[in-house]
Amino acid sequence: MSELLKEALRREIDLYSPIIHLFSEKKYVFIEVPYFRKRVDIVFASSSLKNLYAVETKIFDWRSAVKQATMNQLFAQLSYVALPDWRIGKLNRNIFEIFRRYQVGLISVRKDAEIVIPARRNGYFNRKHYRLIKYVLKNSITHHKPRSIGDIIHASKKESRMFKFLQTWSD
Amino acid sequence: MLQKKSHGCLNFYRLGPTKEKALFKKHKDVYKGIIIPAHIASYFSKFCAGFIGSLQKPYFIDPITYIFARGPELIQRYLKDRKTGRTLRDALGGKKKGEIRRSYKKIVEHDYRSIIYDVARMKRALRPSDFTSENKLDEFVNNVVKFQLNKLSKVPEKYKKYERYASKESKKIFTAPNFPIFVVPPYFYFNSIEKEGWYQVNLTMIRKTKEVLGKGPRIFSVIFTSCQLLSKESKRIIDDYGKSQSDGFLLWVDDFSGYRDLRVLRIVKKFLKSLAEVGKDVIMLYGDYFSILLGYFGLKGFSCGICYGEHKSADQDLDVEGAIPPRYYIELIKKKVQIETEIRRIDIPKEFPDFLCSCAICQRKSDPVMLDDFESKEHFLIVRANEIKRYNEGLTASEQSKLFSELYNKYRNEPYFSPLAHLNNWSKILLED
Repeated sequence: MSELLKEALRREIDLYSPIIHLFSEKKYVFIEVPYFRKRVDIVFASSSLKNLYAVETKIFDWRSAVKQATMNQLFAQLSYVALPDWRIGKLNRNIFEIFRRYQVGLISVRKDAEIVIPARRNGYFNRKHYRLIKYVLKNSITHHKPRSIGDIIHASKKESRMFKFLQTWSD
Repeated sequence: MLQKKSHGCLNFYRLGPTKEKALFKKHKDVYKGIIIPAHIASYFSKFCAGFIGSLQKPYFIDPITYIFARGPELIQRYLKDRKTGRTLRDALGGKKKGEIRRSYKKIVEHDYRSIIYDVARMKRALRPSDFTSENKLDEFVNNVVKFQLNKLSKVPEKYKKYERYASKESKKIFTAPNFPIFVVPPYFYFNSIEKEGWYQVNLTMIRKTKEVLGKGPRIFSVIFTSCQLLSKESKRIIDDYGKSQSDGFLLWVDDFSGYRDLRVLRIVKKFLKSLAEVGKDVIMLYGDYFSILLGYFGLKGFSCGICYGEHKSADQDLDVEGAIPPRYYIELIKKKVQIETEIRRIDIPKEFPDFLCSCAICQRKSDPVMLDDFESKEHFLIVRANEIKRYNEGLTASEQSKLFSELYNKYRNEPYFSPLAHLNNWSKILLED
């Protein structure tokens, strides 16, 4: 099996570990955060939960990732899409303009993760949505036991119920 | 190429939550008729009878018998902790289910009874072999048919007094029985046409229903199956149902919507075209805008909920916890977007002024983010009525195809509204025979 094919078969969950290390300075990492009948792939938070960064991961469908990332701007100060680096290499340059136009950041993931287009704050931040997510995250810190990154990857692959809302912090 | 023209389109709406009652009353002129799910007709019989009687619109009852042949968990309710109100979960984290939901209990125990009551007590699904006894079969069909004819047809007592007052004024008042426009035989989902399966049971149900009704009301039979079977066995299905004593058909393709890929749309279109050649009306039981387009290929009408319920699968869990969030229907691209998240982020008046709607609701509140649930549904009703009106007035398939193609090319890269493949698919399929 070629290296490219192995890369192509990676699941979104396989992108998590490098992304979590990219934001290692953030105190909290939340996976699969429920948000209006959808789930945000990863949310990073500062120690006081004041600053929230959201990341949507995709292997192929950059459009739906950008769409979700723009929705995440309602509660997150910064919002990103993470794609495998080989996928980014195949994107038309015009598409990068779409990321810039919507102030959505782009993260390239291979063995490590790298910010290719920085995210920017825009005027769509909504206090009500921010407070709602902050409340959910705060509850999670209170009620859920933190797990290691390895546990998250394992639980995700098993798709167990506990994976739906696990919390960890990077080492 | 022969220009495809419209055959007229009839739209029905399914009765949902009771708060929709005001919408049905306020916008009586934007729909042909109403569908009442059997368990709603049973559980809220007085309300439904009064409501239907006051509306004076055509209606029929969907007997929803299919549900008893799926797993019993579909009609069971979630168990909740009495103190916290939270749903109880099993060891794997799945939600726990308990007894039959109240809305189904009445129809099981009082209206359908017979074999339905037996299997509900045993907590199992119905099987085709449950109908091998002729007595049980007759009893079941009889109960389902009589339920449809009688449950909502009687005028509630409180309206009868108005007959006396009206006759004094030499005016007419409608107190005659309000029968459904047709009766629907019991039906079940089939995914094969084997001899001992649900397919044969369905055909038997149609025959038995005709025996019960005699020369009475019309019968519209439900054809409820998968897309794969429509593709594989269309000729046989059309032959058998065509020869049945149905006066028309209600088509339900499992989990089908106009937003599926082109291959699936073609299968349904092809089947529908052949079915329509039988010469009887075909109505899509769950349909979206694509059902209007299927009118060019012979579909007579379709139904849905008000801004929801445009597609359904056989095993769809009806107990979705919490209300469906309000959505706004963008007429130009035929898509619904969530008001609380998507509309809040998109800023339609500034970034996409083409999408602004000129209906009475949107004229009052120019930014869709301001619409509440009731208003967003009103907007949907009005817009959908306009779409059907344009179709009925002669909008051709090629005109629609050209428009969809232009819209797809214009907005395909806009991530807010992705995916928009349906516009491209519809554009292509409208030009095909």
